[in-house]
Amino acid sequence: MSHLHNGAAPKATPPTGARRVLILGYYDGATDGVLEADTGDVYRFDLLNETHNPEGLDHRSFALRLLPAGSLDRLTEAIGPHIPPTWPVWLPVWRFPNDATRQDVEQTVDAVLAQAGDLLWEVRPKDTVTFESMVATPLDPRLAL
Amino acid sequence: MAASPEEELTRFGIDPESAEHLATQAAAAEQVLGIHGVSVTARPTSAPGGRARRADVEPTFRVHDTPTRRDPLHRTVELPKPVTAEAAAEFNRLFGRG
Repeated sequence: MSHLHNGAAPKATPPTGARRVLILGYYDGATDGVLEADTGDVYRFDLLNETHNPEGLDHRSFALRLLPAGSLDRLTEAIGPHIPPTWPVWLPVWRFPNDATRQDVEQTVDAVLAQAGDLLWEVRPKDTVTFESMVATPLDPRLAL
Repeated sequence: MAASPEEELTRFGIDPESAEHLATQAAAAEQVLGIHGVSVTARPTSAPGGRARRADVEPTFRVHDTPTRRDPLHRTVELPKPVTAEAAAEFNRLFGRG
């Protein structure tokens, strides 16, 4: 995975769904987190746009930034001992035995998220919890070729 | 973070919400939180939204502390299943929507 920051061409395979989703922000659906795409790549995702949908969950799009392989496992190792995972979708309710533990976990989470590369895709999932089906639009001009 | 009955809950958005809309969101929360409910936040915010004191909401709807990494003051207002038109109207009234 050498295409995080060094200017090399990123992978051109658009994600069309997620195998696992770790939700770190939630408001009537995910707002941000980390997902393992059906391509096997791991992405940080952040809310990009939202439009009201009176008939269901609001329509949201998310920005995807590539993370190093193994990032989701690293997050699971940090959070999982305190809040059991519930794959394929895991929304950890952020409670820890004490502040020191919480701060340790948050330090690891922040360090993992900070490794995210440039914006690669904008995705519009049909379901903002499972990300089972999503349409990807390239945000990196090298992907649009 | 300890919750207080005096805390102010904000439900983002200003339009009244239908029972169907609330039910869809409640079903999504049930899937990941195990609580049939919708999101509110107790953090101070100037974003457009309806506001209610937790103490005014709790006699009708249970409020759960559901902190996330992003929002340590995220709360979930539990709604009846199914969400009836009456429940939606009361929810909208409490949050000053419509």
